[in-house]
Formats: sequence, C-alpha cells, structure tokens
Amino acid sequence: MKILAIFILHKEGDKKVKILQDEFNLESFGYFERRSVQPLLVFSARTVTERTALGTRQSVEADENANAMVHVYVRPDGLASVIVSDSEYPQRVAHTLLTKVMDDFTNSYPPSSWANIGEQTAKMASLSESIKKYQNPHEADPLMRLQKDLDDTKDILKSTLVNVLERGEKIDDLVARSSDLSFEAKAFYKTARKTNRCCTLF
Amino acid sequence: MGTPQRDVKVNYSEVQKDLLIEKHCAFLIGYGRSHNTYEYGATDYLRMSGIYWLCTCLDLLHSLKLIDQEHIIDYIQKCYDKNSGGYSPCPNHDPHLLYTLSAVQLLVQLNRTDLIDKQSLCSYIKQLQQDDGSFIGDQWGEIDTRFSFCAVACLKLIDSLDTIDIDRATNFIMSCLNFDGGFGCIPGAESHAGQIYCCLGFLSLVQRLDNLDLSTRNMLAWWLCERQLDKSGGLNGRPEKLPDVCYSWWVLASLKILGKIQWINREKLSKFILASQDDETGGCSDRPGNIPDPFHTLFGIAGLSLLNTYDENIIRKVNPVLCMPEYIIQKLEIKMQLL
Amino acid sequence: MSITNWSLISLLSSSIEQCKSIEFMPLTSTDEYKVYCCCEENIYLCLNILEIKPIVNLCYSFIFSKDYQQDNQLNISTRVLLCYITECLTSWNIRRRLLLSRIINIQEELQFLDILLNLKPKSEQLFRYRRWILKQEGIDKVSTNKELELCDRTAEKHFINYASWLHRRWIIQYLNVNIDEELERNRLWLENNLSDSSGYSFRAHLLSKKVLDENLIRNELNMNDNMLEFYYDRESLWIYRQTLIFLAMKFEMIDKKQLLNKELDSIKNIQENFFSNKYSRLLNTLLSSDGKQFRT
Repeated sequence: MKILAIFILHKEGDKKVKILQDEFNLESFGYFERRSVQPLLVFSARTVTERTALGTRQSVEADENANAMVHVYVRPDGLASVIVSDSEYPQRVAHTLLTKVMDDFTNSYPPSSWANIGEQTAKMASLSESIKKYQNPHEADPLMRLQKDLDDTKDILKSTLVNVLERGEKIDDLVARSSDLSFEAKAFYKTARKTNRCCTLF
Repeated sequence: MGTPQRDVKVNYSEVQKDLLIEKHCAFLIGYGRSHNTYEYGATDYLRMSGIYWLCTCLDLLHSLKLIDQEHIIDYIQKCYDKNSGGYSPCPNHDPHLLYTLSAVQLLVQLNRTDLIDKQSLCSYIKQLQQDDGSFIGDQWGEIDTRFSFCAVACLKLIDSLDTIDIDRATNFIMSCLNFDGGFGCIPGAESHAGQIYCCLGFLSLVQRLDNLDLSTRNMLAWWLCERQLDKSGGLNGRPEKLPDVCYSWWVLASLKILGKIQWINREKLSKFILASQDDETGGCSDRPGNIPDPFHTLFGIAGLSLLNTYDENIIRKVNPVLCMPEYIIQKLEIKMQLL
Repeated sequence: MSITNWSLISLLSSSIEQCKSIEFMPLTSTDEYKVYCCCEENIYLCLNILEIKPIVNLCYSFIFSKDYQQDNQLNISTRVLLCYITECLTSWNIRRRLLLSRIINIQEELQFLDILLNLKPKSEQLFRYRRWILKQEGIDKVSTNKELELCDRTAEKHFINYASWLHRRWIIQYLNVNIDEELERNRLWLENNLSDSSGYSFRAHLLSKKVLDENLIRNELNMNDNMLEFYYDRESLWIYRQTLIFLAMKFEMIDKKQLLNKELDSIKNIQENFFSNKYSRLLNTLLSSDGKQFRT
C-alpha cells in the first residue's frame, strides 16, 4: 500500500493546468521502470486535473489493470492537488491529505504568487516529508479524527479515466499526443495494457 | 459508498450472453496446432496438462472427434519415463506427478488404458508417499495436498487404490484442515479454493468424507460460497482477490462434493462465465476482457456443466471430482462419495 | 547451432550474473538491429519483453542439445531460461544437480534467487527451490533475518502472495523465531498493508501456535476494532474478525452465547455496510443454531 506521487497544481483556465510542485516515491519500481512510470504519473495528474471542475473532488481509477488511483481536489480558488496511490491506499486518507497539503502550500506561497511560479519550481519543504510520513495511513489518524464530523471526504465520486474524458476523447490518443511522455514511456504504457496475468494452479 | 467489495466491473448489458461453442472448438483446435507461437515454447513445462484441458473441453462440447487423437497418443508415449514410471509434461522434461495425472486422464479419455504400464505406474506413485502419509511430486519436491489428490486420482482411474496406505494418506489430508474450515497445501497453510478442491476430491475418491463433521462441512461450505462476489457474480479463490473463471471450477466442484451447490447464486455465476468468453477469437479468459487460454476455457465450460446452465446435448455432464466427462466415469464404474 | 546464438545466451547469462536488478520492459530501437537487453553501470539489467520468444526457444534448444550438455553450458542456458520462464521445473532440477556436484555455489545461487524474486515475487517453483537449497546448506546456517526480509519484500511486491506467506510459515517452523516478536512484526506490516488477507491468515496461524486464552482473543478483537473505525470497508478486516470468533468458539470454557451477543453489540458502533451486515448475519446464525446450521 503506497502513495506514488503528490502534486500541487494551479488550474489557470479551463484546460490550462500548471504543475507547481511534485514529489515521487518510486522505490518499488525498477530502475528502468521508474523512467517510464514517472512521466505517466505526471501525465495522469495533469489530465485528470484538467477535467475536474473547480470546487470538486474525485478519485479516478487510472486503468483497471494498472492498480493506480488518482485522487484529486480542485479548490474553488484554482489551487489543486493530486495524490496518485495504489488502489489499496484508503481513499478517505488520501482526500484528507489533499486538503492538508494545499493548506500548507497556501501558507508558504500566498495566492497572489501562484501565477508567477514556473512549472515544477515551487519548493515547499514539507511536501517531501508528507509523502514519506503518510506512506503509513495510520499517521493520518489524528487528521482523520479532526475532520470526522465536518466530513466532506466520505462520499467522494469514484470514477474511471474513461469516464473522466470528454466525449470523443480516447486515452490512447491522449497518450500518443502527450508531450509529458517519452517514446519509451509510450511503449511501456502499451505493453502494460496488453499483458494481463493469470493464475495457474495446475 | 455502495458495495466496497474488491471486484471487477462488468457491463452486463454489453457482454456476450450466448455460449460460443463453435468458436471455442476452433480456438482449442488452433491452440493445439500453433507450434510456432511464443506460448508454445513458454508453456512447454506444463504441456501435458494443456492437452488434457484442451481434450476434456472438446469432449464436454461433443467435439473430441475434431482432433487428431493418434497424434496425441504418440505425444503421451513420448513423455513416458521408463526409469521412474511417471510422465513428463513435454519430451526431454523431467517426470512429475502433476503431469502423470494429466497423461492418465488423457489415456482413459481416449480409451487407450492398454498403453499404461499399471505396475510401474503404481510403484512410481507408491514411492512418492512419505511416512506421514503425504505425497511429494517428484524426487526433489516438497509435499503438497495437490499431490495427494493426483496420487489417488491416478490410482482410482486404473483401479489400484490399494497400492498406497490410504489411512495415513487420509490422516495427512485431515491435518491440513484449518480452523476456518478450509484446507491449505500443508498443515497450517492458508486456506485456498484450489487446495480445498484437492482435499475434498481426495476424501471423495477414498470415500472418507465422513471424517468431516457436520459443523466443519457447514463452515467449509460457508467459506466457499463467500467466494462469490456480489457485483460481478464471479468467484475468487481467497478473500479480497479478484474473481477468476477457473474458480468456477475449484469452488463449485467443492460445493458439489459437499452437496451445497445451491448456496451459490447460479444465474449470476453463469453470466460471469459467459461474459468471460472472447467473442472474436473464442475461448474464455480469467475475467471479462482479458486474453483467453485453454485452462480458463475448460474450467469455464466445466463450471457451466456443474451449473446445469445448458442441456446435456450442448455441454456434457462433468464429473465434479475428476473433471472428466461423466459418461467415461460411468463406463469405468468408478465409485466416489458425494454428500 | 551458430556460434552467435550461443554467444548471445552467454552474454545474457553473464549480465544476469553480474547485475543487482533485473527488469522486463519494452526496449525499442530505431536502428535495424534487435535489442535483447540493456545494462547500465553493470547493475541494472533490462530484458526486452518484446524479444522473449526467440530467447526462450534458443535456451530450450541449448538445454536439450547433445552438444551443450557440459556443466558450465547447462548452468548458462538454464540461468537465462529461468529469468524468462520461472516455473520451468526441469531447469530448476538441472540446477539442483549442478549444485549437488558443486558446479553451482550455494551463496551465489541464493544471490541469484534473491534478484529473481524481485522479478517473480510469487513463483512457487522459485520458493520451493530456495527451500531445497537452504536445506542443502544446513538449516542452522540459514540467516533468519534475511529470509524474513525476503518474505516482507515479496509480500509487498505481490498482494495476497500465497507463495511468500507459505515460505514465511516454513521459516517459523524450521528456524528459531520468537512468536511474540513475529506477531509484533506482523502487526506493523499489516498497518501498511491493511487489506492483505494472507497477512491476516498468517496472523491467525501465529495465534494458533500460542496458548490461547480469552484475553488474547479480546486483545486481537480490540486491535481489529481500532482498524475498523476508519477502514470498515475492507473485507479482510471483517474476515479476520470472523476467524477470531471461530478460534474463540473452539474453547470449551468460553461462554459462546455471551461472546456472540457482545459481538453483536460492539459492531453496532461501526458504520453499517455490506460486510457488517454479512457479519451480523453470521453471528445470528451461530447464535440460533450453536454453529451446526449455517444456511437453510
């Protein structure tokens, strides 16, 4: 059970999303795999945030076989955060953390500064601590207790990437067009989709 | 939150609802012929079982005549190991009890038991039994309840059950019973639907199901029917695993032996199996949308047979213990215990 | 058999021998030659998933060729094949013979398995072979910590990993492991792997090795309560609770009616859902029939 990445993003317009800061935890992947997984995470964080309306939360299953969930919360003021976890990681904890990292971020970088931060250049120190600390979801128990009564994290929309996309959009096309993805990452995406594993007891 | 159970989404309004008999036959026959594909080299190590899945499935679909039976008999002969008396999965490979059972099942099914050297087969199996009654699969291997099942199934098919020490073999199986009512591969090992099938199959073949008292039977049947997932209707092999067509066999056959097949929602399971058919290539996969293979095709069809979804003219009746067509078991007058 | 084919397999084998990690990935090349593998810093080896078929067929052709039956040749061809087809029992058996005749060094072989387990964390044959080697080496020489760490790693890599937990049961049985310490390690592992039902099954296995009393079961139920507070939607937590009740029911001394009624009360504090409903149905059946009849 793990968090693979945390992103803080700024939604500047309908389809314009800037990643302000990101942190990854890709230890469980191999050396070569990491190079393809990381850009795929960036791609999915950006794609999902682009398609999430201001003031909403959702948890999106990246791919039925891929075992990854993209949790997103876009605040009404345009600040957004994304946690990509495996499907084991508790959804409610992820959403509690989304709120927390944006609160922290707003304390470090006031809203007026967001427009001037370059792509992936913000450097809030607590983000790398958070991704380490909350690998164990029990670390979030105090936060969860605090939020328990005024709970907006209980009934979060669960969705799949296919549902998030707009009419006529195809995930394979988006992958093919994406500038976040290298040639290798695209090949990796394709084979990951093709190989399904099965059990053989006998 | 709806149903939080881990499961797959199946869009039942769009999936296949009819049984694609002709496509499955074509798929299976094609699989036997495709010597040049990657799968051929990659699955050498279990080929004998592969042929058993293929032939049994064709037989259940009344289509065994579509394959070259002489060719298969030649192949089995090539896999016979004179030194040990067992069969290997593929020529040049080492013999193993798992593939010996597949070979014996095939020879019985193809009506060529005359080719079996009964005496050396019996001594092969006998020397695999350990002091505690358990069985190893080959000279190197560890013990496993699967191998106990293979041993008695082989012997039963050649009417030589008295070759081994059945009391001790039964005691070993009973020592693998867990307090949740299930069985694992060795004493104390986690309960697993496949291992449960082997242990119940063993007890059925040696007619010792009475070793399970009423409350154990109920607990076990409870554990088994909990394998059905609420949304998709498919069965998994252990808690929190995704549904998989092959468990339509391991779980259902176990419930059949216990006389509790009605504890499963049969209609939902039929739908899940049918949805796992590949309507382009034929064959069944582990779950809807995945790539089909002969293993899941057999266990999907055999599952449908146990569920009585179709008339016997379409899918033959399958024997729940030996996973072979029932007419063969009847012809050989093989007796087993069902509750 | 051309010499180039053999040199390809030899090259792969020596890369596998030297590296510290193996992966399978698609490797693409814009040039005309084929890419079979990519090795960086002699540590990271990537095998091309798109070129499995020719390598597997080549390996088989060498393993069963009359001209390549020397010990060192078999060592090379089986090593490469097993990276691709880990369940090939015959190849493991060839290595068993090589190990018995001391062509293969035990420590080096354990190292090879260690790396291969990252690639194939649920391979039944690989774990069986590993136990066989450990027995050859002598059980008293086995590093318990190393084996436990390996179980942790493979169990985390592949969720609900039967082979890995089976290996752990073997370690507990044959090596000197303190059950209380193991229970604590298991508790911490489960904190990070909330819904791994194999982990819970193993925990129940550990409990069954202790002198069970009501207190012990009560403590486990309390731990389960704490987890259910937030994670009431995890089936494995409920199944573990069910197992604890089954365990408790085994005692003659325990007042079963009281236990079951107390359970029915305590789950009222947990938000009602699919699993809690199922669980209370089970409790009620057990109450009404003394465990004899589960369903009608």
